[in-house]
Amino acid sequence: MDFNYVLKIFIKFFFVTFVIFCASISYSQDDDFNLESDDFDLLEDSSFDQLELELEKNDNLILADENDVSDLKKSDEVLLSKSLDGLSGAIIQNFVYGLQNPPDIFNRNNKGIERVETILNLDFKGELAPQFNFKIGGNFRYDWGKWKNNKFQTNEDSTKFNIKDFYLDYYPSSQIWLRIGNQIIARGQLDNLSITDTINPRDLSIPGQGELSEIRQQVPAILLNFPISDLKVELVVTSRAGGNLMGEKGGSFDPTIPFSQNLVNTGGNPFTINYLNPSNEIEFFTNINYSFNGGDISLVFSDENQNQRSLKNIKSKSLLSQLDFGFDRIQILGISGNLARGDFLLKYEGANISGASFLKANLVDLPGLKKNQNVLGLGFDYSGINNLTIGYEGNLRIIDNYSNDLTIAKQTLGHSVQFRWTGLNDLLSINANLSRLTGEKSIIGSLATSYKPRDGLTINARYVQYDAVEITDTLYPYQKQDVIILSTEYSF
Amino acid sequence: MITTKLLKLFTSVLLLIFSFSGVLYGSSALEIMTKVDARYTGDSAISDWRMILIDKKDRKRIREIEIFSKEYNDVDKSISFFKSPGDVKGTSYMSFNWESTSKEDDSWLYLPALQKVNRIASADRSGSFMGSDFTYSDIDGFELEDFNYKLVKDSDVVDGKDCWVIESTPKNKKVIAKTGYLRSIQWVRKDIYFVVKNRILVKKGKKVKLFAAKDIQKIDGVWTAKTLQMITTKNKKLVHKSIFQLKSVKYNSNVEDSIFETEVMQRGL
Repeated sequence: MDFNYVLKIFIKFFFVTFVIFCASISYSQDDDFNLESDDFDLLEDSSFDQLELELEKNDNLILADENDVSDLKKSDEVLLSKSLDGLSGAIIQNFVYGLQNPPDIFNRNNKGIERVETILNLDFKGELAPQFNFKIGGNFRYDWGKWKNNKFQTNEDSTKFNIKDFYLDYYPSSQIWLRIGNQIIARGQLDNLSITDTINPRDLSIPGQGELSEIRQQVPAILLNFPISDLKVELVVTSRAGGNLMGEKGGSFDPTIPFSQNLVNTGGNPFTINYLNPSNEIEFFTNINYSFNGGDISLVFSDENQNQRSLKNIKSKSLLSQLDFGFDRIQILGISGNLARGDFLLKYEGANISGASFLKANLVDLPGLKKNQNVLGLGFDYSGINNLTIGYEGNLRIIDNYSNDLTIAKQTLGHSVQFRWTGLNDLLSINANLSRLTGEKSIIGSLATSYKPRDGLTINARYVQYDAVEITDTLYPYQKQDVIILSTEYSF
Repeated sequence: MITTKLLKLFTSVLLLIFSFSGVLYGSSALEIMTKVDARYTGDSAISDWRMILIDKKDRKRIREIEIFSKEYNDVDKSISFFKSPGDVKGTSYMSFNWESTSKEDDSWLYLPALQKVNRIASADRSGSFMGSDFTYSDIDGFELEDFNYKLVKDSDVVDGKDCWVIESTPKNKKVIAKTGYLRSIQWVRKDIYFVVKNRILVKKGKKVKLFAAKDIQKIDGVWTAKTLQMITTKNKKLVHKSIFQLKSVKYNSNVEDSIFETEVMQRGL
């Protein structure tokens, strides 16, 4: 019933989109038009002559300044280009405030400061030798405190260091590219859904609060890219890539909370979470891409460990239970591509995924059942309105040979709608996003704005809201975690 | 070609103009603009540009860009890399502009924060190029046949050089939608068929943009403007302005075909 309702919305949305798409093309073909306008005389207005003269004087001063600066720094620039030209980074200050009173099972059980953090990102990119480039990057993160004993304690500060990009590039010829090391390999077309974009695990520890750029996690990998005729072939092997990052225990998105709320029968015992290593740490990915006028298409094959771990076992040991989460070995045969027509960019992804297991209705009846699934994702970006881009992404998952004892429905849908506006010569941007999680009524909504008062400096504000209806929704335990995020970023 | 592109763009900015259906004062507007379009801009180019963005409070933002461009029989290709400041460093933009009007141009944008190349819907080229007053259309160039041209003045002097003054109007709504331009008046230098000044009426916000090409020199046999300015005005008041300064250029250098690949955008130079 609910599925049919959502499916109807899905179909209607695409119908409306299709109509707009056709209308847009039709409009663009219309050659009958009248260019009469009172404003046309503007161009012949002699007052522009004076304006141009004044502006020219000013510009000459500016250009003189710039030349002076470049002359003065010429010797320094030579040195810098040899040593520090490849250095870049950013200092980020985040202030996150929780707007609601979450239940006592969370560390923060009152509205108040959720976290205050300072992050220093550093990247260095350089050339080791002809045809050999490298990049090393990482970040230092300082947390100014954490919630403990019902309040935010500043004496609970902590520091973390993470290696991010750390790789070597080798170009034996202009068309062959080899990259070895810790890296992000972002593929696929859809931004919010990862149907064929599965090489990098994702950071799901604070869903909806991070930038898209912070979500993919680097993995140790070897990437080889080479052409065969008009095709571009990409082979990727990863090792010990790990899985999606989940929230910390007691944190706002503590993944054990649903179990704490007796959604799993652990015999009433307290429990611990244990993450199992995969039986095979090596993963393989192949991407064959063809670009043509107006579009791209890729075929994707992979043999990998599913990034999202699943519950494998529950062990009871006297008064303590242990929940074992492990990886499913899955195989993906997929396709992804895009088509640019007029002001529309249509995006699609589809995949047959085998090897994934699904929990049964009786959650302690483990392991889950392995089922093949077909996943289809469709989306578009429409940029035909001044400075505004409207984006939509939807996905449909269908499980083959469905059995009624699964917790998940046979067919599930997810949606994401995004509005992006930029103005003031890219100084100001506003971004609104609504995502309905696949197969649920949970919704994550966010409204973000970003302003650049000067070169390198960005001020951001974001409001994030979590809504859930059904007790079985993933977000249900976390629906009191709405936040406001204020941040500044200085890039250099 | 982006140099060629910028130059062409600027040449193209140039291109917006005229027609008085016929011969007036010796040369028709269309003939002039055809010569402007045909002016040799090099088969390929590698150039370094400084882009200065200035708001009405005189606050400046400076970007450094390196551009590779090449002309083929059926397509002009260009790829540009942003080298500074830090928040745009590593960003790259690539475009293929097809000669055939039946083909839409292709363009891609790489954002280092996402480490991903995204294709861009290319019909609306009237958006700002990286926050500047130049549009993607300005950068990629215009099609000569998209406009009607009219010679409005046989002689006018700009920077001491005799110019034709030509008005151009788009032939249809599709061109307006694509370029964002409703009408423009260009000053074309008679001696070298170079557009040195342009006033453009823009559809969005009924703004007027003022273009100027300065410091024109012959480099490697190609007439080149070392400074390009685009000023956006509304109600005859400054809104924002952008200055492109050419720091260096090498025409007809060895630009390899393989540089125009999305992989190059990802891995950088």
